[in-house]
This record gives sequence, structure tokens and C-alpha cells, in this order.
Amino acid sequence: MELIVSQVFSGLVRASLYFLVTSGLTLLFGVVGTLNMAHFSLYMIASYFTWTFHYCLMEYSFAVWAAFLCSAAVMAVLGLVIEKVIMRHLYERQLGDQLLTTFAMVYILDDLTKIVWGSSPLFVSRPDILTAIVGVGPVSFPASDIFVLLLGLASGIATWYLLARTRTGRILRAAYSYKEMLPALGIPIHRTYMGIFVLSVILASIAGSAWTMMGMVDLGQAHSLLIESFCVMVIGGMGSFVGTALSAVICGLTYSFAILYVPKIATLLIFALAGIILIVRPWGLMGQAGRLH
Amino acid sequence: MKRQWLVPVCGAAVLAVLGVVIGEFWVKVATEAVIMVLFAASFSILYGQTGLLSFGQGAYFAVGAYGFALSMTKLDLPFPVCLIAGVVSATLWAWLTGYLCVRLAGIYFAIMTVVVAQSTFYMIFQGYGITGGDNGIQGLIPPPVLQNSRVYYYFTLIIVAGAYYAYYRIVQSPFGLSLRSIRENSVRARFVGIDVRRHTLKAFVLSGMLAGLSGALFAPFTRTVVPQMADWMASGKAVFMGILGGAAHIFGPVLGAVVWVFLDAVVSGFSVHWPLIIGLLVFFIVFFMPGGVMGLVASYAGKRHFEQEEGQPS
Repeated sequence: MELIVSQVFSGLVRASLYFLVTSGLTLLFGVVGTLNMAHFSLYMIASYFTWTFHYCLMEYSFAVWAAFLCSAAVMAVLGLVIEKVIMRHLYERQLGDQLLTTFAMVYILDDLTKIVWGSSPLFVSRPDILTAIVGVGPVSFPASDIFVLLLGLASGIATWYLLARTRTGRILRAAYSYKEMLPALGIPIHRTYMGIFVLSVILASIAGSAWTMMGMVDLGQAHSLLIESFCVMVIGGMGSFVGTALSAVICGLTYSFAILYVPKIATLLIFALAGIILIVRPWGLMGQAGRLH
Repeated sequence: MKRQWLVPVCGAAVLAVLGVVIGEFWVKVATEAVIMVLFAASFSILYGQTGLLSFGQGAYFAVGAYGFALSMTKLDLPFPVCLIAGVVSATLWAWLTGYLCVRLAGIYFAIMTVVVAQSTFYMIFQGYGITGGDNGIQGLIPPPVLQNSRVYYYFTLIIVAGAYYAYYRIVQSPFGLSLRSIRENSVRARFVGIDVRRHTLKAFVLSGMLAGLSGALFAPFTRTVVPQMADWMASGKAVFMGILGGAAHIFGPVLGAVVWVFLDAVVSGFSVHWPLIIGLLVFFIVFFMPGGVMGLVASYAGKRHFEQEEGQPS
């Protein structure tokens, strides 16, 4: 029984991480129609920024929060620059050009990261509250995992609120349904696109900060999460925010239990799920039927 | 018709002479470039000819390489048989995975190819009982006659030239024309009576074959195979090479592979920032030179062969 509880917990933590990383990407794709392959590189850069800010502010009690906020702010600015300089020119281009350009961005951003922060992994000296172990009955949960779980929930709820209850959210949802209508309604489409890109970068930043607080930042982290995130996105439905949340939970739990019983093929199981979805229902669990954007 | 042969024949002559005159290191670079021509061609037949962007060619390259490696180390087969085994296994893998992939289009196809590539990587990685896992397989030594790097260069040159000639004939054939019509408008192609799914599957298998041959030639060249040959970043090499040379042009893969490998060798000589440079180069190509190098050359030469149609794949 304890095993099941702790596996469910770690599955949900993993789901939270998947969700944090993937939600930005899926929102961007849903509204704008561009798959930003460099999203994971941005997530990695955010991790590094978080490490830097945390390192500078280590003596203060608010170090963790400050690191999160500063990193999100810096990434938002970076996102603005990238949108203006690169992404803007891609909206009208073919899929091939979009994927190629963002793929080239992966190379560039990865190398820039290596130049600025070096190739060795960087370790975070976390505050005590994050290194604690919380015991509930016979099961113990690491505090940093709880932190990631809560962060994922908070981020999901905040973004949901943004999408469902605010005017900006309505505009974004309208753009997802029928983006050609926006200019017809007098809504500046470029500002909307800029906004969604910055939002996706901020979400990536939160994900990166969460990862940093788990202990270590290194150059490979983007790649390890990348493919699983693609799978999460595909299974949930590309562009669907709720779908991403749902599929993150499915994939997180699948991985967590698979690691226990069939460890060698745990990751392959997620790939297989994505493959099956792509064949049987390419628009994903919650995507709009027949919509291949 | 004769004029179009001028460039490739000159190029072939240059390549033939090169093996004798240049230094040892550059012969190795040239060999790698020649092998990569097929890898680039495997991408181009899907993207340039059929309009399908594939980030998964590394999978078939790796299967070709591992097919060779396993035949040599576990089954002790003679060298030529190992090469054939590599190509056959890559072709089979391309047929199996292609059957699933060609049912999709556009971005879903691209993502599926990424999934295939990473799955292949993980399967190779996890199967350390057979494949050696993360360590890969070492000690893949060609027979003594081919151990001289210049001899191996000519060996690969001959095989690649033959394979590329086959690629050329396929692209120029009615089948190639069907592929291009699928690229331009797959719905209309279907209306005209082209079985889109079967044609794309055939293109997919052909591309797997080319990538597999490339991998099978690469394995004895580097004497090692590693699982990373299969992942999507390695597949990205084929993408970049194809785009660099000019995806739709018949000789695009040749130029793309040669430029890439030589650029890599030159840049790595004085800087570690090869990824940065190549990323910027691809940016430049996408925005300013969408036809790649051959597109630029062709537009200057004023020629407009039908295979150079730069209809953007959709």
C-alpha cells in the first residue's frame, strides 16, 4: 500500500514537471500554430538564470522566490526579443521553415548557455525547507517534490484562470478557435501573438526554476525531458491546455508505475502511447476532432 | 541535356583526384563527406521530393550501422555481407515504422519521426545485452585491403556514386514526379489517381535504405557505433545538410553534405562553437537562401530544370 501511495505521488510530481514544461509549448502551438522546438532550451536557460539569481541572493530568506521572479522577468524580456526578431517572421512561413528555425535556435541557445555558464553541472544549495523530508504515516515525501507538485498546481490554476476568466484569456481562446477573426474584431493580432509567446516563455521559466530547486542544473536537462514532453503534448492534444494537464497526469503515472515493474521500457511505453494516439486519434485526447492545425 | 552533367562530372573528377593529392586528415574528412551525401539524400527524398519533414533519419542510419556492427561482431559474417545486412535491417525498420508514419502529414508526421528516432535510440540504449548499450560496439575493422584510409575513400566513393546514381534515376523517373506532385498538393495528386500512401511509404523505405547504407559505411569508417547515432539531434544533421544544399535540387544533398562536413572540420579546428555557427548559418539559409546553396547557384545560372522547382513543401 505504501508503495502505491509513494508511486502515485512520484507519478504526480513527474506529471507536474511535464505539465509545467509542456503547457507553454502547447499554448503557443494552439494559438499561433508554431511548434517552438527551442522551448526546452529556454526552459534550460531559465534554470540557469534561476541558479544565478539564487546564488547571488543566497543569504536572504526570500532567495527562492526572488530567483523565481527575477528569472521569469529576464526570460520574459528574452522572449520579447526572440519574438520580435525571429518568431514574428515565422508565422506566415511554412511548417518546415518554422521547425528548422526553431531547431537552429536550439543549437544557438545551447551553445550560448555553454559559453555563459560552462559545461559542468551546477549545484544549488537549497534552503532547509526544501531539503526536508515530510513524513505522513509510513510514507515519506521529499519537500522539493511537494514543492514541484504545488507549483504545477498553482501554475495550472493561475493559467486556467487567465484563460477562462479574463479578457486576455478570451482573446487567446478566440485566437485558438479562429484566429482570422481577431483582426476583424479590431484586436491587434501581433500584440496577441507577442503576449502568448511571452506567456509560454514565462511558463517555461517557472518550469526551469522548479527544476533548479530540485538540486542540479546541467546542459542535458532539456534533452532528457524534451521527447517525453512532445509525447505529453501529442497525447493530450496539441494546443489543448486541459489536454496537456490530463495527459501529463497519465504519462507521469504511467512512467512512475512502469519504472517499478518494467523499468527497461518505461520511457518506451510513453513513446508507444504517443505513437498509438498519433495513429488512432492524431488530434489527441482533448484536441478538436479533425483539427490538424 | 549534356550541360547539366558538366558540374557533377567535374565534381566527380575533383573527388577522384582528391583522394590522391590531399593529406591523410583531409582524406578522412572527404570520406565522411561522401558517406554523409547518402544521409542527406535520405532526408531530401522525403522533404525535398515528397514534402515530408523528417527528424527521424538518424534511426535508420543507426540501424544500418548497428546491423553492420552486430553482423560483424556477433555473427562473424564477411565484410560485404555485413554491409548488406546493415542496409537490409535499416530498410526493414523503415518499412515497419514507415507504415505507421505515412498515415500522418505535416507536423504530426514530423513529431512521429522524432518519436521513432528516440524510440530507436532507447531500444538500442536499453538492449545492452545485445547492443552494448551506452558503450556502443567497438572494434569494427574493415578487411586489411580497406584499412588504408585512401583506399577506403575510393571504396566509399564508388559505392556512394552508384547509390546516388540510383537516387538520381529514381528522382527523374515518373515515380519521382508523383512524389513531387504529392509535395505540391497531395489531395490533388490523389484526385489524379496517385496512391499517396503507397507512394509515400515507398519514398520512406527508400530513404531508410539510403540512410542505412550511409550508416553501414560509416560504421567501419569510425570503427565504433553508439546509440546516439539514432537520436533526433543526430537526425537533425541530415535535415541541416539537406536544407543547406537545397532540399529539392537533385544535387542538393551532395553539396549540403560536402559543405557541412568540411565546414565542421574547418571550424572545429579553431573554435568549439560549431553549434552556434551552424545554427546561425541555418537561420541565414532559411531567411535569405531558402533554396539552399544549389538554389542560389541555379538561380544565378538561370537554369530551371523541373527538379529544381522550389515549390515550398506544404
